Order: sequence, then C-alpha cells, then structure tokens
Amino acid sequence: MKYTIFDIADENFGIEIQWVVEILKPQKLFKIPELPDFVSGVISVRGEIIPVIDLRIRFGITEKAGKQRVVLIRLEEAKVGLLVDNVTDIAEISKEKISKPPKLFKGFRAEFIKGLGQEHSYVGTKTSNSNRVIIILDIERILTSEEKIKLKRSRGKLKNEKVNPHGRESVRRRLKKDKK
Amino acid sequence: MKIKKKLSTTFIFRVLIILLIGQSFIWYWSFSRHNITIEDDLRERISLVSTLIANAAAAINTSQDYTYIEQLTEGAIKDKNIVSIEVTKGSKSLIRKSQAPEEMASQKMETPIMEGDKKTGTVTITYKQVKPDTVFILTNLILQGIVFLVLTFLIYLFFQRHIGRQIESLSASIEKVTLGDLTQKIEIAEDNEIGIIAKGLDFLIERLLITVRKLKSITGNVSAAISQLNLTFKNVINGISNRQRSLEEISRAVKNASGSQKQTIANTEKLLSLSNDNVSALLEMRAASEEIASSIGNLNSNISDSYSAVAGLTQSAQKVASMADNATSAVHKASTSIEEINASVKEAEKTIKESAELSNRTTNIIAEKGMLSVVDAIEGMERIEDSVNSLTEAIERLGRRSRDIEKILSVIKDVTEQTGMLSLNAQILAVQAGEHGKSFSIVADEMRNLSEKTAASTQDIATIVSTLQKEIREAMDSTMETVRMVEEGNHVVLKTGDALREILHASQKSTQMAASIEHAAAQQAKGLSLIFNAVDDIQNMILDVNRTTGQQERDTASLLESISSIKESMEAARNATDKQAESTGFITDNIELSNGKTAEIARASTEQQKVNRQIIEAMEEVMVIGKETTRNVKEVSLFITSLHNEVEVLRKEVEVFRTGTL
Repeated sequence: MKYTIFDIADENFGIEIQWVVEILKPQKLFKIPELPDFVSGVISVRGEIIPVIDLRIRFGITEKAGKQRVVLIRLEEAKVGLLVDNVTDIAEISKEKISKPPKLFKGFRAEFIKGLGQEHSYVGTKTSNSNRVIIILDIERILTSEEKIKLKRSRGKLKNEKVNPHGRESVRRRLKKDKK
Repeated sequence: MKIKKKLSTTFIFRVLIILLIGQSFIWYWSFSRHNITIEDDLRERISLVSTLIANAAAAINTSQDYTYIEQLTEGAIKDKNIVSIEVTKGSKSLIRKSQAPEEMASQKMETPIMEGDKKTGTVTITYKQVKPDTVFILTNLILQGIVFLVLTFLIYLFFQRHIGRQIESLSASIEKVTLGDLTQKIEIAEDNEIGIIAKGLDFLIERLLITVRKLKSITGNVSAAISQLNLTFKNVINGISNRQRSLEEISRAVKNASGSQKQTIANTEKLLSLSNDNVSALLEMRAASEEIASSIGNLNSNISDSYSAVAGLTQSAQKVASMADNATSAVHKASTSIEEINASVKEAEKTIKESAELSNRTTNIIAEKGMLSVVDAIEGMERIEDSVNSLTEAIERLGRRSRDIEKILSVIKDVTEQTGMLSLNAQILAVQAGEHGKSFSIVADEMRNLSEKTAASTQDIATIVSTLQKEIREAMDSTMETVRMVEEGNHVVLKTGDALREILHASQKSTQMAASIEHAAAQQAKGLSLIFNAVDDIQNMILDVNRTTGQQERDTASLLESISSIKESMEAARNATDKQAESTGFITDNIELSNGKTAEIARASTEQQKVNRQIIEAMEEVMVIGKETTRNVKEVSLFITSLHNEVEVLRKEVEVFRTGTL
C-alpha cells in the first residue's frame, strides 16, 4: 500500500494514497463566519470552494510552521483540504510493517491513529534517517460524525457540492477491503 | 399642784363645809331650843311657885297662919332666878321678900289669889333669866370641833385611798398629756366609773397620739414643702424681677438704639447729600488732576531728558576724572618702568644678535629638507587613495552581483519546489490510475529525481553564494578600513606639511624680526631718554588736569543731585497726580457706590425704625405684663409665707406633743 507522507512538527504522518486528490501550495485562506469552528477557512481551487482543516490545530500544536502545504483529500462525497507542514514523499509500506498504536501516543489523540508504520533504509530529501516511524492516520476519524454533518450543512450552504456517487461507493468498498 | 385645785380636797372641803353648816345649824337649833325650854321651865316653875304661894295666901284668910307661907316664900326666894316675891292681899302687902336689888332685866309674873271666885290679892314674882353656861357651850363647841376634825380626817382617808389616788393619777396623766406627753398610759384597771374614764381617756390619748403623729409628719412635710415653695417663689420672684430689669434694660437699649438710629438716618441723609456734593466735586477734581497729570507728565519727560543729559555729563566727567587718575598713576608707573626698560634693552641687544643668527640657520634647514619630503609624502598618499577607491568600487559591484545570484537562486528554489510537488501529484495520479498509470509513474519518479537533484544543487549553489557574499562583505569591510586609514594618513601628512610651512614662515619672520629688533633696539635706547623727559612733562600736565576734572566732577555731581532730586520729586508728583487722578476716579466710583449703599441704609434704617417702634411697644406691653406677674407672684409669695408661718406655728404646736419614736 502506498502512503502520502507529510510532516507536522517534525513528525511523519501518512495517509493512504487513494484518499489524496492533490497537493497544493498554501493559498489565501478565506474566513467565513458561517463555517463550523473546526474549519479554519476555505480555499478556492480552480473555481471550487474547499473547506480547510488545520491539522496542527486539530492535533493541538500551536507553534508556527516554516512551510505549509495543503493535502486535498476526498472525504465521503466532497473534497477537504488538510493544512500540513510539508509533504515529503510517496512511500510504500507493507502491511507487516504496520503495528497497532499504543493508547496514548506522543500527545496526539489516539482515535485519529490507525497504526504505526516502520520504514528502513529510507533516503529522504532532507533527512537521511535510515529508520523512520510513520503515524498512519485514520482519515475517516479525523472528523467526528457530528462534524461531518456540520461540514455537509455548511457545504450545502456554500452550494459548491459536487456529488460523486461512485467515489463514495468505491470508498466504502475499499474500507471493507481494508478491514479484511 | 395646789391643794386647792385638787378635786378630792375640794370635794372634802365642800363636804366639810356642808357638815359644818349642818352641825352649826343643828347646834344653833339645839341651843335655841335649850334656851326656850329653860325659859318655859322657868316660867312654869315660877307659875307653880306663884300658884303655890297664892294658894297658901288664900289659906291665910281663913286660918291666919303665916308660917307656911313664910316658909314657902323663904324656900322660893332661894331660887336663883327669883328676884323678889310680893304677896298682896287687898291693898295690903302681906309679904315682901327680895333676894337682891331688883334688876331691870327681870320679868314680872302676877298670879291672882283666889278665895272662892273672888280675887283677894296678887302674888307678884319678879324673876330674871339666868345666862347660859359659857363653859358648857365652849366644851360643846370643842367637842363638836374634835368630832368634826376626826370626821374630816376619816373622810379624807377614805376618799384619798379609794378615789383620790385614782383621780390623782388620772389627773396627773391628763396633766402630762396636756403638757404634750402623749406616751402616757393610764393604769387604772378598776371597773368603776374612773376605770371607764381612764380607758376612754387612754383611747382618746391613743387616737390623739396617732393623729398628732400624722399631723406632725404632715406638718413637717408641708412645712418643708412650703419652705421649698417659698424658696422657689423667692427664686421666681428674683427671676421675674431680673427679667423685668433686663426687659427694662432691653427696652431702654432698644429706645436708645432707636434714638441713635434716628440720628443715623439723619446722618445718613446728611451724608448722602454731602457725598453727592463730594461726587460732583471729585469729578471736577478728577478732571483737573488728569489735566495736571498730563502736564506733569510732559514736564517730567523734559526733566528726564535733562536728567539723562546731566547724568551722561556726570558720567563722562567721572570717567575723565578716573581716567586722569589712571593716567597719573600710569605715567608714574611708566616713568619707573622706562628706566627698567632702558636697562633691559641694553641686555636684549646682545641676545637679539645671537638669536638672529640661529633663526637664519633654522630657516635654511626647514626650507631645503622638510618641505621636500612632505611634498613627496602627500603625492604618495594621494596615489594610495585613488587605488583604494577603485578597489572599493569593484568590491561593491561584486556585492551587487552576488545579490542578483541570490534572486536567481530563490527562483530556482521555487521551481524545484513546484517540480517536487508536481512529481508528488504525478505519483499520486499514477498510483490512483493503477495499471494504466505505471508508465506515468516512471515519468513521475524521474521528475521527482530531477527535482531532488535540482534541490540539492540549488542548495549547494546557495551555500556557495552565501559564503561568497560573506567574503565580499569582509573584503568590503577591510577595504573601508583601509580607506579610513589612508584618509587618516593623508590628513596627518597634510597637517605635517602645514606645520612645516608655518614653521618656515615663522622662522623667516623671526629672522626678519631679529634684524629689525636689532635696528630698533638701538633706536629705542635713543628714544627712551627722550621719552623719559617727556614723561616728566606729561606727569605735571596730568596733575593739573586731574585737579580740574575733580572740580568738574564735584560740580556735575551736585548738579546731578539737584536735578535728580527735582526729577524724583517730579516723578513723585507725577505718580501722585496719576495716583490722585486714578484714586479720584476710584473714590468717585466708590462714593457713588457708597451713595447707593447709603441710600439703601437710610431706607433700611427707616424700615428698622418702624420695626423698633413695634418692638418698643411690644416690650412695654411685655413689661406691663411682667409687672403684673411680679405683683401676682409677690402676692402668692406673701400668701405662701403666711401659710408657711401658719404651718410653722402648727408644727411647733404639734411638736409640743411628745410622741416618742415613730
């Protein structure tokens, strides 16, 4: 399985590549009053309005980052931007290398974490760590169901919803596959 | 206690009197009865005797026996009472016998001698009353008296024992009670009338005691209360009289005040009219003083001018005088120092010659060697400066270029990032496309490699450029330092040149000067003697000047003094007139104001006068009422005093009763 690897506060996080749509440079973040509080703002990507969730805020990290990237993912029916520090690479991590996370992990909320992936003899762009641990995020749990409903509502208000029934179905299918 | 007053005595006495009267009456009666019986007895006896004699006489007629009769008469005559017996028969006296000379106080009894029914003769017996026996009477009386006395004593004893003592104690108690001792208790327990009386009396005394006690306390209280009341009333009277007095005083004061106020009103009105006059006068005065002020001002300015002129004169005179003084002293000094100079000038001449030679030599040295080397140094420094300047320019240009390189590097960096992102996106797309994207994924990998390489080389270039920049900066800094040092050196060289030039100039000058000094010194020596003579003349002249200037100074000073005094007085006058004008205005205003106020006061005073009159009337009424009150209070006080006196009397009376402890 391939993962998109990104950094937040010098920690490596990974999400399964099929969720990812695109990686973008940080853009102007528009603050809209009607948005739910966990949404930092919206960005415009090729005429499409996309809500952005700052993962730093989500993980309770307050210090400022030098660089920023937006990982655009497809969550359920719509696209959501995740604000991260940097996207480093796309990496292949086999299932054997993924272990279950401890209950409390480095202060991050364990419910977001799907597992910990280990990668040996990795040669990155910046770091030459031969041994790195990647926190694999459970993208579906990053938002609670309540937040998802709220997001949906606000999306309805923004009238920028683009329904993709196939996408939704395929996601479910893939989820089932994963569980097996 | 007098015996007379004793009831028992009186009683006994009266009983005795009654007894005495009765006894004496009895005695008198018995005595008179005794006398009567005696008389009767005597008469009976006499008549018996006479009858006997008559019978015997009758018997003679018949028998003619006179013996018997004789005997009879003889026997009879022996009776003391019978004074004489005479028996007559017919006209013939038969027997006549008498005891003693007949007494006048004798009585006669005639008894007829009856012979049958015929009277033949009479028997006359004269007898006298025999006097009662005095001894007997006396004895009787004495006896009776003794009996009486015994009786009296007995009665007295009896009475005294049974009644008298009780009555006495009773009366003593009563007497004590009468004297005021109510503590008395009559102790008669007998059940007779006296006992009842005693009980009743006891009861009465008890009641009296209670009553008197009550009365005593009441009177005491009343007395105290009344004396208190009296005191209070006296105070009240005092207070009232004081009030009265103060009211009178107030009244008087108010009247006085009223009078003085009237005066005030009159005065105020007068004042008002006067001040009105004053105002107009003051207004005139104001105008006049303003005029005066202006003219005095003019005068003053003139005087000031002349004063300043004189002051200037004085000052210059003083200056002249002081300068003359200075000159005198200076001339003195000069004459002494000239002598000194003369001496030193000669010494100087020698030294001057030596120094002239020395300076000549110095000038030559400086001119030949020093100046040449300085000029060389300046030229060398200027060349250094030029080359350093060109070096600096070159370095600065290099710095600019390196900044350009930086810009290019940042652009390359952006491109690298973009490429990296692009390769990431390409990889994502390749993965998501599955089998079809495999060939695309190769391209994406290549792109990624490219971007990574570019990023690495960009990083290298960046480090090289920054090192270069750092070195350029250091070079620039050191160049700047060199420039500064070159400039400093240049400056020093220039300064040295200047200093050398000055030295040269000075030594040239000193050479010239030494020559001229040499020349002048000789002339000076000549001139000095001339000066010496001239100074003496000057000294004399200056002394003359000094004298005159002193005089002048004194004159100008006195002039200045008088002018300044005039000026002062004029200024004072001006000030005064100014002030007068000002204050006249002020006064006028004030007087006008005060006029208004005075009119107000007059009005207010008149008002108050009315009020005062009302007050006086009211006060008089109050005083009348007060007087009445005083009278009433005095009456009440008098009444209280009399009441007090009466109560005092009552109290004293009550105090007579000894009531014992309550």
